[in-house]
Amino acid sequence: MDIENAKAQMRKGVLELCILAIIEEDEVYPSDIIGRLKANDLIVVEGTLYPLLTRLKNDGLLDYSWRESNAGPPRKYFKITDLGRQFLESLTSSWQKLVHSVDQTLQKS
Amino acid sequence: MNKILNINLGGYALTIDDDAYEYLLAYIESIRQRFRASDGRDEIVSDIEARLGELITQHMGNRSIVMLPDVEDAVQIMGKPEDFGGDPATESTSSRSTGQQRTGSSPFSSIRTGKRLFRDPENVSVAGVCSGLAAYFGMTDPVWMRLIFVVLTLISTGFWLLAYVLLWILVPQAATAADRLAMRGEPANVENIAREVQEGFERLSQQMRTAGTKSKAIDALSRFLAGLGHLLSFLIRIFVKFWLLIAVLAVVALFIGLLVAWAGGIFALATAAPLFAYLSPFSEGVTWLGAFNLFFLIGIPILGLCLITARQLFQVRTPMWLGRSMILLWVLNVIFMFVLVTFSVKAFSQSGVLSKNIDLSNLQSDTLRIETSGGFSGQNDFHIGFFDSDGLRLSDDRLEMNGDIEISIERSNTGRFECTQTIRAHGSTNTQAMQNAAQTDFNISAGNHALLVPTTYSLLKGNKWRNQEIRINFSVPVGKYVVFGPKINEYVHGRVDYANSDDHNYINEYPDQVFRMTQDGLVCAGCPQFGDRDYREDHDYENFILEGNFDTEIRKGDNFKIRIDGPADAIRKIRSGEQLTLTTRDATPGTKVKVYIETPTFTSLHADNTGEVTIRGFDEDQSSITARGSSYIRAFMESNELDLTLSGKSQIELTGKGNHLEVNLNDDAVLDASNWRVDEADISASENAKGRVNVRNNVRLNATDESKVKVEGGAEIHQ
Repeated sequence: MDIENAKAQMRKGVLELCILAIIEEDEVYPSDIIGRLKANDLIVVEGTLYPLLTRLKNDGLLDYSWRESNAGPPRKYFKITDLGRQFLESLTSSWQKLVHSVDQTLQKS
Repeated sequence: MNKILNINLGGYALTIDDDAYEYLLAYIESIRQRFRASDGRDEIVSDIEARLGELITQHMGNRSIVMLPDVEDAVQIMGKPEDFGGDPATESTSSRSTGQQRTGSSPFSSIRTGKRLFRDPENVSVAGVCSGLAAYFGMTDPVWMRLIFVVLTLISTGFWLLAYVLLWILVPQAATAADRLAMRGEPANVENIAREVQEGFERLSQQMRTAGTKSKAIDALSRFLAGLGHLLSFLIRIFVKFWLLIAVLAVVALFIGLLVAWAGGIFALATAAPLFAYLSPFSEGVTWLGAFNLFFLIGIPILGLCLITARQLFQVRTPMWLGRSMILLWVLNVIFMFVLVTFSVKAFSQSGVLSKNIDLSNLQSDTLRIETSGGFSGQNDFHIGFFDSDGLRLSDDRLEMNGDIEISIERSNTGRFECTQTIRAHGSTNTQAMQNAAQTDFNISAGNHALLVPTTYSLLKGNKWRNQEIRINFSVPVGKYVVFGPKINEYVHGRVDYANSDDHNYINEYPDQVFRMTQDGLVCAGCPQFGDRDYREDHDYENFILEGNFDTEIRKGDNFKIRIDGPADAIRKIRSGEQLTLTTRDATPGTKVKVYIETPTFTSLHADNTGEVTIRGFDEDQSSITARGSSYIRAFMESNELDLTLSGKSQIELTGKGNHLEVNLNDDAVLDASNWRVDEADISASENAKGRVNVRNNVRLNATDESKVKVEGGAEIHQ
């Protein structure tokens, strides 16, 4: 079993949660999200982000608007929708439960 | 010098170098391929394009033209499309991405994933199928692929053209630069080829569906095509795996075979080791070195093969020095072996002969009896593959060989029995060869009643086997006898003077038979002879020449048999090929002699001044009878073609039938063929000859006035 691959699979599972969490704080454009994720070592290649964003948006969890930038073309800024906020809450609580359960399991064994 | 292009990448206006552009285009195309089944493909791609633009602009700094490293850097950050994976949306909507997932994990260094089969519009002779295939398989020149197609078309008598047409339909044209890059990108492995086939069919199916007309038939057909694609790709995978399995099994079998051969070789050498002393021209140490040399000579290539296979199968890396030193060792082995073989061959290069006379002056009897003083039986022998089982025997101090021994017999000119024994041996020099011959232990000795000749010779330890040949020559005076005992008689296959070799009575077939030396040569006194009562032999005769005053009956039988009623030596029998000549020894034998012959086939009879000849029971395609002098012949048989030539006072009476009869009558000959029914006949008659024939259709007659030919049967006569 490839350890890098296992790690990547783990990260992918929580990526949606993290993206929603970042966007919930403030309206951001993708490069900001990438910066935050990279800083926390949650993403390796940037390309991973875009399909996720598009899907979350298509599912109605995110919305975006165009804003002028001082360098370069207008940028897509994402913000969370009400549906997204609900989704995030339930995801967060199930994440915490999961963390608890995993910790318990790891301690016992 | 490179072209420069101006592009708009996600809102960023860039001036880009052509190389960098092609690379960027291919990358974006690969992303497009990756998400081709997702709903949000265009959006994803344009988002990525915008980010790429941003990254490239950052990397460029103050430069104004985008170069390849800028794009490469951005691509590095963005990652390969197959690494984007893990997007559940794409995975659920596209069954194909699972295949891609797998290819993604295989070692593809290139970002140009999804190497695709395209038709190459820039290199077309018909539709670019071959050039596309050539690009796909990494051929530099499409002419080879075209050649393959032409050959396949010829072999399949044109059916391969269908494959071409199918590919033409299924394979898209490389329309964009990215397509052209993709055309040569990914390595052509089984997985990719299978996927290409499947996708080709799916594309066709998709095209049919989007063509517009929504009918059930089109729908079914398109689904059928998609299914066919699945099936084909499945079959390709299975097929390749099957052959891979076969190949692996074959390699395993090869190894086992080689190992067995090697082990067998070691075993054989170990078994043969005691023989080295007698064979090898070298000292013991050098000989053993040579033997082991042989193992390396064969073993190193086997080991090399093992290593190569292991490297291919299990990715085992062998150190460089190992291969090199193996090759070096092997070359040294070859050189050493060459030297050894040269010396060994030289040890056989010269030959020498040693002769000696055996004193037979003590022999008082008129009969020389020769027996074997023994050799050895096959029981306690030394078994080695290339010597026959009773070929040789090895004991502590000597080697006995059941070797090349040959006995000849000739007529003595001195009136005494004589015996000469000759031993020939080889050696590196003539003297050496003579010495080797002298060291060969082979002794003919006198026993109580017989001369004892061994069937083996032996070599004492320290002496060498150098292809010794032993020749024994006996001289037998006229009127004296010679008898060979069992076993030793089999060695009498040299030059032997037989009186009448046609009797097939040879000493090596008749042990313990007395052979008498006559002026003509050896004669077997007691053996059955040709012409003895019911003498039977495997050889058949079908042409007969009869000369002299005796009667003969030739009848059809399963095997050739001959019996002579009367004094046996009255008739001389001369046999050559399928022809048998019987003549009387004296002009007129004192008593009446009759010869009975049975034979399966009758072809010709030549009767010259003989007595009454009867021919019975044959049914032949073609046969001929010639009669001269006073011969009287009666034939009861059938023959499609029959040639008759009669002269002198000969007479012939035919009973039977045929198609065509050819008759030549001369002198006072008489032919009665009124009971020989034929369709056609050619008859010529001269002098006082008389003839009667029975012909149904045509007769060509050429008769002189004196001769009389009577034609019965109502045939038309042409003079």
